[in-house]
Amino acid sequence: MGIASTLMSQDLSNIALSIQSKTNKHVELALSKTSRNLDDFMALISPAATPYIEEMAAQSQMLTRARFGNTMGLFVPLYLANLCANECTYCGFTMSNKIKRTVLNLSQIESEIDAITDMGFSQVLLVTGEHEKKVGMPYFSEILPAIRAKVSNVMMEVQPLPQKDYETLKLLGVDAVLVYQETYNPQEYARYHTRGKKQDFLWRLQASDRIGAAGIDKIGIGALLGLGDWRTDSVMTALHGQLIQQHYWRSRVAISFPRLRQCEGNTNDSANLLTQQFPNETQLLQLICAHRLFNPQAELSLSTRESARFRDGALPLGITTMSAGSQTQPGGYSAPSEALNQFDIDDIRPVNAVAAAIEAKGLEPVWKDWMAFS
Amino acid sequence: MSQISISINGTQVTCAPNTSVLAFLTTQGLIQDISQDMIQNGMAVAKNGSILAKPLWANSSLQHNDKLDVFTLVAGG
Amino acid sequence: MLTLANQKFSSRLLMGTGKFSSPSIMKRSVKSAKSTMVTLAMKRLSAHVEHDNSLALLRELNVTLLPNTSGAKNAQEAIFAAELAYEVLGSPWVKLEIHPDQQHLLPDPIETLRAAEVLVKKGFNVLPYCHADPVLCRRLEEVGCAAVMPLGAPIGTNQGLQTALFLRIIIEQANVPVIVDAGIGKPSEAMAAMEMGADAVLVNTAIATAANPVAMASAFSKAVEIGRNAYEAGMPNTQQDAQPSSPLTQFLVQE
Repeated sequence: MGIASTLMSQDLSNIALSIQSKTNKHVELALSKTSRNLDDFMALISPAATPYIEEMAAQSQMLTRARFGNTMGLFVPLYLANLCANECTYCGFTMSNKIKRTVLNLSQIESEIDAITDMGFSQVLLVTGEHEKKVGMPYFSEILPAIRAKVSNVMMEVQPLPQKDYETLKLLGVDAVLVYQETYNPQEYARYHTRGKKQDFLWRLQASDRIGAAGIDKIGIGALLGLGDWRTDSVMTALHGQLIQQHYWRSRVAISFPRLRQCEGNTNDSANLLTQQFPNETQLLQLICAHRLFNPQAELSLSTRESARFRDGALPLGITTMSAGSQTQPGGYSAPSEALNQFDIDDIRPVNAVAAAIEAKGLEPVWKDWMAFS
Repeated sequence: MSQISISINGTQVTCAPNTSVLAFLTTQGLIQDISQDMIQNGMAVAKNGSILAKPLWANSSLQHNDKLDVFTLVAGG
Repeated sequence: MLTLANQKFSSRLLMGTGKFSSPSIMKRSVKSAKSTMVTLAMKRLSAHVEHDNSLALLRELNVTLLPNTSGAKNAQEAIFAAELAYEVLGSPWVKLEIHPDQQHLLPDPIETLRAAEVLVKKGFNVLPYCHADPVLCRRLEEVGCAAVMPLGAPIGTNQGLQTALFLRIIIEQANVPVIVDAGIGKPSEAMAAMEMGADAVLVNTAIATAANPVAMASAFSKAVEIGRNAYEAGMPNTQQDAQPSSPLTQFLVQE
């Protein structure tokens, strides 16, 4: 079905071998081109490209400025609920974790929104665990009007939904839907997702087809770097983005680069968890630049998972949106509590410090994305 | 019996009432050999603005003031 | 192999059959071009005029015949022309060409999109002639056209790939074959279109009005093949310059 079937037909071990076989000649060829294909992307994220990081950064910066201007979008995640019916070995909200579970009610959400808008934000990313019954469409339908009334852009990162629900969300004013595949390798995926509907790899992969068919303006994708082979997963992410642009051309693509982080209270043995290496800082920057060189139109997003130092250095080089001042527990803005964070953040600076850092790099922080006519 | 008036490709001609389209086209010299497979003739006919499929030519009778347009495909385009 | 509507064609050079000085030169040119798809125009059949036997000649060549709706000024007329063509040939192929603009023969995008949608639903393999407008090409693809045929320059002008910048975008974005049609005046221009990644080209005036059309047809055939080979061999692009004044990556911590 749609682009998901193209993704399913990829030979992941072939991709992995191809990446490893790239030499500096392939890298130099990729760098010299004005229009790059997936093979070039593989060269640019290969080990052979790491010494070329400075040149990659320069080209990435130039392409980003040309396409997006001297701006940086700012948004904030709003965790509505940590109730979850899945077992995912890498996540703090995993259902077997004995943590205080919360679902914010409308009044609590309004307090959160007020706290968020007081900070200056107008773009918010609503995040939930995955719980169809208690945090499903009836809940979203109830809360979205109140949220939409106070912020200019609403993005959602929740469980994959059927197309008709995405159509409803669009009518309720949702501008973007993010569904991260976590890893594009079905065998790896099965190891980390041991219970719950999230085990359905294909349903998740097909989400972007449903989101695109529903006409949602922005489609967010990404892999959790470190679950599988991060390079192979990144090639699949790049391909995924390209396919979305080909087939759902009225929508735009946003790519994120979450690197797996330690989460508190996760009882899983971390040695068992991370059998594949995840990218180090240089490799992460290389990855960001490679995405930009491959796809000059994609929005590239950097979260507070990364350090302030890294974010300040990387932000002019290819990133187009950043979160800031983030709280990853429900109620974290207006009523922080002992509720567990989904993951620990690193850049804990308040948003005005992040905005100042953006300005120091010659970019203008942008608090609103485009606004629909109706 | 009086003749009826038919327009073919914009030109007025006369023929007997209830002449079939097939017979009419033959007398006009547009169909060289009526026993040939009609596809090979390379023609299309519209009667009063609607396409008349070839199998219907033999049984479609012309009435007074009917309008026929006859087309073929030639080199061009 | 060029694939259009699930049918394979051994040649990426489509030919228009108009403007030749005689049907026999036209037939020999098509053969010399090794073209496997040629256009035809709709014309009223009259008993009092010398019968044009070009249809019969082209049938002898065993190429795919592509009737053209040229002459139609709006969607309704084009749909009618397509249905007439189907009645003549019994073939689902149609080149949708609607140019109410009598001066430059530029295609009407709105009528073309309307007609395309109707004709696709009726079961035609629609090849729409259009301006090199990437969004229009996406819309045509969306309604089910078997390919898109963006112009290089106005019909008959032999001005080459004036729309090159947009053709590149169309080629990059299209999920159906892209056939560059109109304006190609020289074999080198046909080659350039193929090097860009076009799936095929359609050439008429440049062959028909050459001093030696049969030789020109052959030259075009070779140029199209060379251009496609080059494209498939993978051409490097010219370098963009991006030299910053001071290092950008010093902030990285070496792990």
